[in-house]
Amino acid sequence: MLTARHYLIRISPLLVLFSLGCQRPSSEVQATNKELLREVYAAIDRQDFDRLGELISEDVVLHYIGIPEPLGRDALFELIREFYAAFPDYTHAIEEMVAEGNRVAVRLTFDATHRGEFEGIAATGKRVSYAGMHIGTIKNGVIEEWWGLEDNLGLMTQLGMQLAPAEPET
Amino acid sequence: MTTQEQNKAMVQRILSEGDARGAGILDEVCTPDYKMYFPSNAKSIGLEEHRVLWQSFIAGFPDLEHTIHASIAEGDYVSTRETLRGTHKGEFQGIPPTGETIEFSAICLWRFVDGKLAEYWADADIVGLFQQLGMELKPAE
Repeated sequence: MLTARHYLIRISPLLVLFSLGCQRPSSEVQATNKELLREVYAAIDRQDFDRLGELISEDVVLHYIGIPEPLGRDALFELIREFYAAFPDYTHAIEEMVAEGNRVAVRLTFDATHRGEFEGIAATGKRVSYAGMHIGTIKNGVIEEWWGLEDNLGLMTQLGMQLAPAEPET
Repeated sequence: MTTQEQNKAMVQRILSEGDARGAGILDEVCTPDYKMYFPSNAKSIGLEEHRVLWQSFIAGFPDLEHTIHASIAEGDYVSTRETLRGTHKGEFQGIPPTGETIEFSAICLWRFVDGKLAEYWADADIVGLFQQLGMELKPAE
């Protein structure tokens, strides 16, 4: 006959599994979401579009600085390809991450060498370093929505551009 | 109220009071050794310099208004996604008033210590702002 003590010992591992499955502490969700973002930036730097396809929803909505209309996943992948054509050694360094609910905010530094044409500027060979902040919303283990604001003036200044009065349209 | 809720409420207070009565709000809410980074990888500036910078925006855009679209808090940090909107009625960065209503986005990170703002990082669509004021990027002379 099983005593109450034996019974408890038998079921306790199951109870642990059950509680993990049903009631993941919220801090664990945020840790998982941060890890997802870390994987995404590493996959971008590797140009691993197969992995990115697993980490980013096919219905993702990207709001990216300087582009008025939101982008979908194909347009996002195209944007990444264009960046890496111009900056083949482009890297994302994560400086800070803040997570709450299903969102993660990330402060980043980008480093790269300008080896190909970018925004009409022929390769300069210059080493650039600039900053940005992103916010990702994660649902069902993939990024559903993504906002990106980056120091576009800093990047363009390092590529030899400056702000000046626009020419009147002719 | 959790610390994170208090910090979020503090961000809302700083922006709405700043919009209503100017950058002097910083003197009331920042730690004495406050540091501001704009863009977020820049060398930091202090309280006095941040007040002057914010006040220069208010001089150019007297009706400047911050709208918070999202705020995310964890530990001592709050991150916000904001829109800034205003009418260009005063000189701004050497550009005479155009009367244009401008709007641009920012994502910011705020760090609090015992309810006081200790550090603040900001990235904003500065090229977008200047384009709305009639400027464009050109090769430097």
